[in-house]
Parts: sequence; structure tokens; C-alpha cells
Amino acid sequence: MRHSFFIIFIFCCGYSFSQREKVVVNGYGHMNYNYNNDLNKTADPTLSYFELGEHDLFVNSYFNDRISFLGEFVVRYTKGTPTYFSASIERARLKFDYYKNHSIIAGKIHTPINYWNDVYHHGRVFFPSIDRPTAFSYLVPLHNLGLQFQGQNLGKWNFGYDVVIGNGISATDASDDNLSPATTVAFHIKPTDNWRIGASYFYDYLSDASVTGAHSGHSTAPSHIHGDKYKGNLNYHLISQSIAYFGDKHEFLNEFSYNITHTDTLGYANNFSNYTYYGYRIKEKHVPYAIVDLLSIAENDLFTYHYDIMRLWLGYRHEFSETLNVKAQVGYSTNFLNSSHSSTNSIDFKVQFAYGF
Amino acid sequence: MMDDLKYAVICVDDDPHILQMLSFQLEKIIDTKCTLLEYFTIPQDAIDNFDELLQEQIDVIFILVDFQMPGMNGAQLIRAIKLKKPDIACIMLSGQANTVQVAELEQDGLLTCFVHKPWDEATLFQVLNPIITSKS
Amino acid sequence: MVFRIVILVQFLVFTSILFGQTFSDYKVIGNTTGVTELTQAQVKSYFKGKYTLWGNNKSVKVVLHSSESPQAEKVAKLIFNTTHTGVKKYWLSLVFQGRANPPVYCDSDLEVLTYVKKTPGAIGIIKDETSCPSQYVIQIK
Repeated sequence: MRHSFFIIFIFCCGYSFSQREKVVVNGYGHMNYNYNNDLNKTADPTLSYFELGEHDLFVNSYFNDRISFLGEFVVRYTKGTPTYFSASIERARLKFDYYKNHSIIAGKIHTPINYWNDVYHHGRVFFPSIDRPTAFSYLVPLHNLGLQFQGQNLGKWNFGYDVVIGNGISATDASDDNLSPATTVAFHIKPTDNWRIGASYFYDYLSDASVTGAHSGHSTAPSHIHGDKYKGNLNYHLISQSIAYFGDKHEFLNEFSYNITHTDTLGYANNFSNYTYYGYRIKEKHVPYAIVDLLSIAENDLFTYHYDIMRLWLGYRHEFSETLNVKAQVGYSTNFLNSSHSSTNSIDFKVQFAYGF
Repeated sequence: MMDDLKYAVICVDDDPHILQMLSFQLEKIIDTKCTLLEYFTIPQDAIDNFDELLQEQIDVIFILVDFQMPGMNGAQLIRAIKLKKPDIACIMLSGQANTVQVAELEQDGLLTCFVHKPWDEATLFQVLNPIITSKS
Repeated sequence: MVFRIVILVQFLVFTSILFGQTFSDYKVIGNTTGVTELTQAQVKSYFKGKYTLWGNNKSVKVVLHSSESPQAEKVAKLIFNTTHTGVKKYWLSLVFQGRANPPVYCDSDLEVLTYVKKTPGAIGIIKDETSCPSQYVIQIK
């Protein structure tokens, strides 16, 4: 009997050890406090509330020397659902390392469109600041479901490339409304460990621009007049460029995106966004930072719709450990184009606890 | 407030996105303190509104119409408006116009200008500015 | 005066612990990697997850020292030029991006050695004094 228990005990140790190797599970989450004062409003201009953020289960496993799996499953607050929460599969992908540092990836990924989307995903503890750039809510096609060809750390400058062919912006994770796949081509170099300089091009054809599928930005506002979205076809081009430096003292990130949409109805619309972040590590765990975040959507854009905003932030990040930090930001939002038809004028204060486990 | 409005401009297109774009652009060159900007997706509504403006003695500077519309096309709408106010400027903004009907409008002296869709702002302003300044 | 000398000696000892470590104080060990020698730069690249496969198509399995290990801070400084927390943060981010498989963390030189011995493709680093069969040692050129 004692012998049997001993064998079972050894088996469990071995099993849990081999599980520790092959399957790694991490969790990430965050919670916020938000304060907003809309200076344009005379009645009830202030909002103040706590917010339970996304909670993210991250799984990494490898089947053999060359094939691995990565999954990211997120639960977030969603109004109108029975439990007020909904779950989503943000990433689920198989990776095959076929030759040295070259891989083929199949599944749902974060579109390698810029530094932020490629590096931070849904883990707020990795974010240098509280929120994603504004462009993520309007321009950036966050996800892609399809096939990715990837190379990394190639040559002296650690050149990396990504070529993605997948379901388009208006597609779901189970269907696509047109035969034209979305295409992403991205490359970057890392001259030293702390630098990453990259650029990308994304193209998609939407046969019905009103369908915002699983892979669009998280917010596309309806038409100002009727609330009906444009239902015609649309060509979507997005060129992005990013420069990132994260060293012992200085942190810098600049991401610029130029978006062209084309419809037969209103022709070419030219949109752009620029996000600049600078942080300075005054001590090991203390990082004050500043952000300038711009977005401009042209008047004749029929996918994202006319909008412009500039957000200025000052923040502070305290890193308790690599898996726990707190950030506080104070900011001002306004329009920056004279021709703007929306009026934004507000002050925000936010605090975030971001954690991993 | 209506007393301050001496002029009006009417835009008719069954696509609300076209009308929204026109609203953004017209607001740049038209003084909205004295000029009413009206937008319609249904041609008959535009005609009914036109009659009301005439009764209010508001001078309609120009009407900007699409060609392809349900119920009544742009050429028919222009002919109907011209009967009520012969000196009004009529501009057609279209990508799919019937060339015969447009040519007939031009021959009959009813069409001030034809602008192809998609249009650029500068081209539209080149057409509209002389019409607007002739009133001021 | 004595006090100043004591402070100076402590500072020198402290900095020698943190900054005085060199590759000659350590052994890089590997299992069935097909590699018998590496440059210092290559060693660092392997530990930073820059290579996915060895030349013999075995996947690179990086073995690091956990915070329980007395070598954790020294190895972090030697290989990554940062603190052990910095190393964990670096690897956490790399794995989260999907650009590398997670490393294994071991609590001592003996655990590192045990893991490397039984895992083809593994690469680890242990103190030079720790005895180790020569077939696992990767020479630093």
C-alpha cells in the first residue's frame, strides 16, 4: 500500500513537472478608477467610477521541438449580457518553426501592424501607460484570422518580417463576407536590444463597409446625420511606422499611421494618427511619463467617419514587480483641427492597477 | 431666428453620406447666420420645402441634386424647381447620370453645372463660389 | 578613517559581486545542441531567446535561475545586464508576444544541471565550480 502511494506520488511529481515545462498558464488583469470632466457640458459634466477591466488567461504550450500553441482568452464587462461579462478568444494560434528563425503561424493573431499591437496585446501590466493609443479604437485592425509567415532576429540588425493573409476587417471568426483576403506586410529591425524600428502595410477590401466584424477597430461611429452606416464597398489601406526604445533610463515610443479609404461615393479619404510616449526611469521602479496622442479622420471617410482629437497626458508608473504595477494619469482632450465638426474639451484623471500571475 | 435668414440652399441626394459630406463642405463657404442649409433624401420633400421657402420669401440661391434617386430623378426635379423659380442656379452632382437627359437640360438652359462624383472640394467650391458671391 | 575604509571595501565587494562576474566564473552547459563552442555574444543571444532552433533542429530550451537561486542576480547582470526582475520582465513580455517559448526557472546550479542533462536542446549556465560532465559543457571562445 505504502509502495503504491509512493509510485502515485512520484508519478504526480513527474506529471506536474512535465506539465510545468510544456504548458505555461499566466493570467493578467487590471482595474481602473476613472474621472472625467466634460468642459462642454453645463449639466452633469462629471463622471467618476471604478472599473473592472479585462481579465486575460494566457496559455503557452509546445507539442514538440517545432510546434507550439498560444492562446489568449479574455473576459470583459459587456453591457446587455446575462452576467454582464462576455468571453472572447483574442488569440489562438499554432506555430511551426520550420527553419531556424522562420515560422508559419495559423490561427487568430494580433495583426502585426505596429509596435503596440504586436508587443502588448491585452496585458495591461506590459503597457507603459494606462490605455492603448486612440487609433486602436478607430483605425487599427486589431486581429486577423489566417496564415502568418514570420521571421525574427535575422542577421546583424535582428531583422524581422511578418506577412499575413487572413479574414478581413468585416469578417467574423467563422466567416468572411467577401473573397478578398486582408493582407499585412510588416518588417522591423532591432539594431540593439533596446531598439525596435518598424513599418507595415495593411490592405483590405470591404464589400459592405457597414459590417464591423471581429477584426475592426473597437469603435466606428455611425454617420452624423442618419446613424446609418455606409453600405457600399470600400478599399482600406493602412501604412504604419513605429520607433521604440525601452532602455534602463529612457523610454520612447512613436507610432504613426496613415490610412486611406476609398469609395466610389466620396472618393479618397486621408486619415492619420500619431502617438508619442516618453518615459524617464528616475529610480528602478519609478517612471514618470508624457503622451501626445492625435487622431484625424477626414470628412469624407465612410468607414471610421469624421473625427479629430488630441489627447495630452502626464502620468506616473510604479512597478512593484514585473507582474504588478500602478499607473496614474491626468490628461486633457480637445480637437486640434479648425475644421472639426465634433467638439471635445475634457479633463481626465485615471488610476490603474495592472497585474499578472 | 428665421427673420435673420434671407437665403437658402437645398441639397437633394438619396445617400445620407453624400448629404453629410456636403454639409461639412458648404458650412465652410456659406454664412449660416443668414443662409439656411437644407438637406433631403426624397425629391418630393425637397419640392414641398421649396414651396414653403418661397412663401417665406427666402431666396433659394441654388439647388444641388443627384441624378439617380427613387421616385423622381435629378433632371425631373430640376425641371420642377425651375418652373417655380426660373432664375435659380441648379447644379447636378452625379456619377451615374443619364447623359441624354443631362444634355437636354443643358440645351434647355436649365443646368448651371454638372459635377462628377466623387468630387473634390476645390472643384465644387469653384462652381459654387461665384453663385454665392453674386448674392452678397 | 577606519570607517571610510570599511565602507570602501564593502562597496568594492558589492560591486565586484554585481559587476565583477565574467564568463570565466561560469560554465555554459547544453544538451544535444550540436554545438560545442559559442562566443559570448552568441551565448547572450541564446539566453535572450533570439534563436528558435539549434542547427540540428532541436528547439532551444532556455534554462534560467529563479529568484531562489543564489546565482540569479549575477547571471542576470552577466547575460542581460539588468536585474533578475528585469530578466523575468523581459521573458514574460517575449513569451506574451508569442515570439519565444517560456524558459524554465531552476532554484540552484544542481537543478539547472539536472534539467539540462535530461532535456535535449536545453541550455543553461552554472558556476564554474559546480562539477559537470564535460559532454555538456559548451566552450566560450
